[in-house]
Amino acid sequence: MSDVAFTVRQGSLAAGKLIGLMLLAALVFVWLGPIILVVMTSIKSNDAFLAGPFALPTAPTLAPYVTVWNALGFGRLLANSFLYATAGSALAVILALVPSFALSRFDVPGKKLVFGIILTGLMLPQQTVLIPLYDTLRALSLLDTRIGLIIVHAAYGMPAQILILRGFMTTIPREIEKAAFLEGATDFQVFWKVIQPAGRGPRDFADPDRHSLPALLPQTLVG
Amino acid sequence: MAHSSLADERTSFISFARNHKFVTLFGILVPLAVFAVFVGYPIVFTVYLSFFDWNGMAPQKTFVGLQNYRYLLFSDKYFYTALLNNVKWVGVTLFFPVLLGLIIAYGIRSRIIPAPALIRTVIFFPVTMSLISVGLMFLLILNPLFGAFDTILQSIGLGSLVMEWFGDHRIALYTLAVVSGWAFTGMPMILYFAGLGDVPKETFDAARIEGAGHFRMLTQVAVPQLRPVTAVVVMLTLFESLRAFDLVAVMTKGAPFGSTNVLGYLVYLESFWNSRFGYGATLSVAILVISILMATFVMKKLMKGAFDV
Repeated sequence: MSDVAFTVRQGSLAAGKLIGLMLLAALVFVWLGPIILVVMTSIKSNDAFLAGPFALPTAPTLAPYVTVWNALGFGRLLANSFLYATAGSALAVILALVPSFALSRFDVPGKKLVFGIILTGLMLPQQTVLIPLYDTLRALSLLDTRIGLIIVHAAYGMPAQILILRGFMTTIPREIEKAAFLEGATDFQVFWKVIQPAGRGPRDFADPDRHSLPALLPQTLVG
Repeated sequence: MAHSSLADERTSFISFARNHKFVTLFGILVPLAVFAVFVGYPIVFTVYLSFFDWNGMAPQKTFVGLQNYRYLLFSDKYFYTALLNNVKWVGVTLFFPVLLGLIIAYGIRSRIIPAPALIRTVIFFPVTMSLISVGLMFLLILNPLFGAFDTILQSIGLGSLVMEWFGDHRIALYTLAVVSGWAFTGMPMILYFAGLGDVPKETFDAARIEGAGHFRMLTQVAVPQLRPVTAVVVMLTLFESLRAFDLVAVMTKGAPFGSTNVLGYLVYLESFWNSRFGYGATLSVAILVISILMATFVMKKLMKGAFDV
């Protein structure tokens, strides 16, 4: 992916580069700093931390990690979270592909209504949904199953993906598919062959699902 | 295209469905089915529940009519505080992460900021973090006793700026909103970055020939071209802010004096702590209504024309 869309030269080259580097440093500090700090803190012993929260750990210890791992059964929690995040997000994106395709280029009657309906999925607060969701899962015999949670993730992740994917699909030029339709391609063929590769870029952005831990997962992660 | 009446809409939908079976089935019916089960039913249930008083465990629910709504509108000061807090939260998150994301994306695309892959990864990484982790992390950093933030401020001579980030009821909410913005900035940045990549190079070249500097490039060339992306970004930001819960639950739990209550957290408090699920449902209905109003407003203003694609 080309990183340069354009270049605007202003002032001397050196000054420009210096400003750029300073900006880079500032941004990295603000966004990477806290994480590094937390990692550093996590490998200090309690005493070392109280002595100097900032100092580099002189005697790094992984003991806290071991304790946490054992006490919480972290391995299993992590595996579950990973499963829900990847499978749920993947399913959400898959579910979102055709709707985004449809909403971005077909003149579907009632398109705005459909879009609006899909969007309301984004507006529900998690707590509200908890009890009805429990009922739904129980009715579908999906209670206490991994599949159930994956489906829940997918269902609630889908609207955001539709929003993002639809936006990007509208930027794909129509000429490609007009040509394909003229050659007698069915909707599905057009979708599969034409849209898929072009959509690969935004699909990677749409994937990371921030909310991989709904309230249903054990709160023990928080302690 | 001529506007059709409802009857026309219905018949034209059926004819559309006949002509485009694949698209209709997977593109319309499947999401609608998912919606009906996972969104429609919870909404119906919530609205239904909002007319009752229920402690969550008893098999019987007591019908109270509009009492919950009357309480919400006239007697609950926590509601109005929370509502105001959500407005403040939306203000911060629409301003700081969205604007910053746009500027950073522009900075990367125009090569002002070097190491594009590094900066994109670093800034986007917190978006993927669980907000609970983010909250715990910043509890550590903003701690008044041994927090790194205060120490840094003091060491560069800005010690006078140090405040009780969580203890001062006037600023606690803004602390939370800024932390939320910190985590969220990567999202608009990535979306704007991709959006900028789709803008044809000729547009920027033309502007450069006309002597546009970076500021005008950004405001008069990039922003108008990015209107559809902005619509998506604003909507995502809006809904996330209205639902904000994790940070409050982890960092302040509404303290001090309920000044960091947000609507999402209030629903949790009322439902799970006060065992007033009926009232919690009423609050949820309020959140839903507010969200729909704001979404319609955004759709009208920002997506004018973006939908006629």
